Amino acid sequence: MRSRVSTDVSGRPGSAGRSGSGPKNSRTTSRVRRKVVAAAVAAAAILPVVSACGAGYEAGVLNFYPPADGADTFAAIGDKCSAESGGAYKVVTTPLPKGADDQRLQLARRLAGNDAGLDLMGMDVVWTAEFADAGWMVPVPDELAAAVTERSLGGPLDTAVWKTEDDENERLYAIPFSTNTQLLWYRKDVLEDKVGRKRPASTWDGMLEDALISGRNGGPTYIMVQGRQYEGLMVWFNSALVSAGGQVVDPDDPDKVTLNDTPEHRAATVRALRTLKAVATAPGHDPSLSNSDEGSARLGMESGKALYEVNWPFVFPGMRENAIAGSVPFLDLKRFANLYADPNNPPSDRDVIPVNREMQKVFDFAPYPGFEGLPTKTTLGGLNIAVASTSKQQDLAWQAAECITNEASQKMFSLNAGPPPVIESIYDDRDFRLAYPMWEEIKRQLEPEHAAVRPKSPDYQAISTLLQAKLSPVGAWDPETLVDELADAVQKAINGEGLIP
Amino acid sequence: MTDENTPRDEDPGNESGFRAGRHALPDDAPPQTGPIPIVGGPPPVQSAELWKPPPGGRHEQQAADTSGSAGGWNAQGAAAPAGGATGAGATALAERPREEKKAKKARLSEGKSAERRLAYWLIAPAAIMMLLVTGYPIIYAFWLSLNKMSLSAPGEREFVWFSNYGAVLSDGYWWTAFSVTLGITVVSVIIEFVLGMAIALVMHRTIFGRGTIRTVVLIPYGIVTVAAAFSWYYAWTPGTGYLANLLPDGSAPLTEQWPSLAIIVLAEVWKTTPFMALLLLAGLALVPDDLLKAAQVDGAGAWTRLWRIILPLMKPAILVALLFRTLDAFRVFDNIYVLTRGSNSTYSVSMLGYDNLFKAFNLGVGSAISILIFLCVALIAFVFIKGFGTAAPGSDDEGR
Repeated sequence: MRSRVSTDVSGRPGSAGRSGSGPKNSRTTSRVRRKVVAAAVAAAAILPVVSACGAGYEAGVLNFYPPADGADTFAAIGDKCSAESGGAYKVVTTPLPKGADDQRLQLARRLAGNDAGLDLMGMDVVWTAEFADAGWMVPVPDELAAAVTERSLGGPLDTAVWKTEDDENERLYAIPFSTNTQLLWYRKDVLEDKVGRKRPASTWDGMLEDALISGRNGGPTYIMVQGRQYEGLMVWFNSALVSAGGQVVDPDDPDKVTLNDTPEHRAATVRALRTLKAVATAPGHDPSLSNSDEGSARLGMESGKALYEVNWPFVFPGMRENAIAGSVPFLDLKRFANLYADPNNPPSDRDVIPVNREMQKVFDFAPYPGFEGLPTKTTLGGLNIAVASTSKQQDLAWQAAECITNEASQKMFSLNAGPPPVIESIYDDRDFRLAYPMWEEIKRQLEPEHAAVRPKSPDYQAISTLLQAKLSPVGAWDPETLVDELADAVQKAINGEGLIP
Repeated sequence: MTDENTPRDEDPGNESGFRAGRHALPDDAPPQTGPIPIVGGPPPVQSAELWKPPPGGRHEQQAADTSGSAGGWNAQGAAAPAGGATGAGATALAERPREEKKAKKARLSEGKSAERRLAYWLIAPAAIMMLLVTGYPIIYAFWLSLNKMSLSAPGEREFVWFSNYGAVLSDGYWWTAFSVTLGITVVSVIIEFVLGMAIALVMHRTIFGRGTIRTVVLIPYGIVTVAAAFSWYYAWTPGTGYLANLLPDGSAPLTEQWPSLAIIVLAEVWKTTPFMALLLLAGLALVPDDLLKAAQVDGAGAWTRLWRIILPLMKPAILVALLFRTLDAFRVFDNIYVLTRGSNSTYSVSMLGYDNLFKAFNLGVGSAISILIFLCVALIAFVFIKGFGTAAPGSDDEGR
């Protein structure tokens, strides 16, 4: 597309130059020619740049911007849909950066610059309110929305729903594509030998108690969490808060802070904060907890120093890989190394069953922990597919979005790239169950009554950044006083006042 | 003592006349004619030959000890007071530009002013282009900073006068960033200056392998800052880094404020000391060797020569080097962005501006921060040029 525009421009100076070369007055002609040439050079220099950013779109070509992670799978899905469309459209996949902030920034720049070449966007679940309020994405057509609502799990679906000022009711602004939820991972062998329990704890208090007993008997004591000042800390806090019965903002009124507005809400927030502090300051806690993220939590578990870990399901294949390589002290799976000998021919999920069975004797999973007597709710991650309002081919884009998010595509993505799908029926699929031994726990946590959606607000980014800054370093505060500081910070973010660090 | 007196005895005739002209010039004396030496430029042969280092404190003491031992000694002692004890060489050089200015004014003829008008016409296109390219964004940023505006709320704009500035200046995050930035700037520029000066002196005096040594010293400056920052990042990360492995087990320096700041300063110093050294080396080349030799002959030690002759003569080069580095250091961004991402209160004002513009999409507050950074930078430049007085490049009294 770019090259076509630039040939148009470079074609122009040629013709202009010819018309200027009259034979009559050589002096004027040369001056005219010089001016024409100068203008042409200037035009040739400036026009391609101007036309390259925005304005250009090609009928039938849909530009899809998914995150960098899983980009190959996205491209394969795009190609598959292009082929199935029978030439109606062609999906061109361009990966966004790896970091979520960078992805959001690039999309926002394209949208603010009215990029007509932006059709389909891969959207983090927390951007829905902001992008919808900005008018950057168009609501899902009613018929498609009904079908998507019908087939999707409630928790992920809720992340794509929003009500802008112009909407009468909440409506679907994007199609949920993949999701994610954290589980509790634990050392089964330690629990049996050092703690004397068969089943893992279901509450944070129970985990702390088990860690204490394990430490007393010479076992590992760490509880691995995500405590660094980043979005992972917000995920942890949100899970604890919603499980304790609290909310950051009112789901029905995003301008209302509900951290301390009623005694019940205040008590819930304090309870969540007490739990965070207890985990961060318990005897035998992970010393680098205030700087830990998903990766360091996983590695801490693999090093054998931890009893419990809360993390996304990716730690399961990660542990398997390292145990087969022989770098996990408490789990030796080197005898399965021949399965992985040929990198071009990885073992099928069926071949891996005995490996998983062996691994689950020492490293197993359970539902995310919560509070005694309250339903546990776990923060959702994931990705939704939206159509940009700047797109000139929105109907075609919705056709492609429908294909990109259909059952076959979601299954392909979850098996190849990782995160679990949102279509309920895939959880009954045999291949999927083989690849996801923890499918039952995951599906349960995606139901609306067990899912915690992060605060739905057009100011989510500022809310989250300010909360992280106040919460970090975890445990170095008094829960009772921090409640009001958090509420003030969120109110400031909603009002658009003050700075974010 | 006799050795020291030898050079003076060689030109007894010139001595009183010339020195009186330089140091004891009456206020109403006509301006000096002939070629006027330029500050910092190579002095004309004549003055280099005739110039004598003024007596330092040590000299005078020696003179008192051996008073009357040589005829020329007293004459110099009498001529010196104008220069005082503070490196008369610099004072003498600094006096000349004023005379030159007077002379220039008088000489500006009709033809000259026409020439100047032509010069203005010739530079006009470039100046206008510069204004468009730099002026427009600055004015637009200032306009944005007076509005409440968000990238994610297109079409919604409210003129709020200076309340964004109030919000920034009353916020703890700004002052944290400001003190962090100021701390990094002051510490890193001081270290860079001292190290850079040392490297410049070594490079200046190197006898063999000059080109090679200068190239080697410049290598850190040639490496892209982000790439260098990443190598520092991995070096200080436990598990991957050779430097982190030297520390006691379990320490992660990039997770705490003070160690992080120290590493940021280290990365800055490592990266830009060569730049400082290069600028100072250029300044060193302006110090005439004869002057140093003469000072040496007069008994000035290496330290005295550095303080009394080299540094005063290098003042313009030092000003440029310090000014450039201070402005650069105040806008520090890439090292912090890679090393800590601003966590643990290690963010600079530039990072704060970036976060508010590109993470919070808050165009008003973000622009206000940018404008405040711009004002800080302007203030730094102003203070530097005023503080260094006449030696400032671009000032009227620069002597060009």
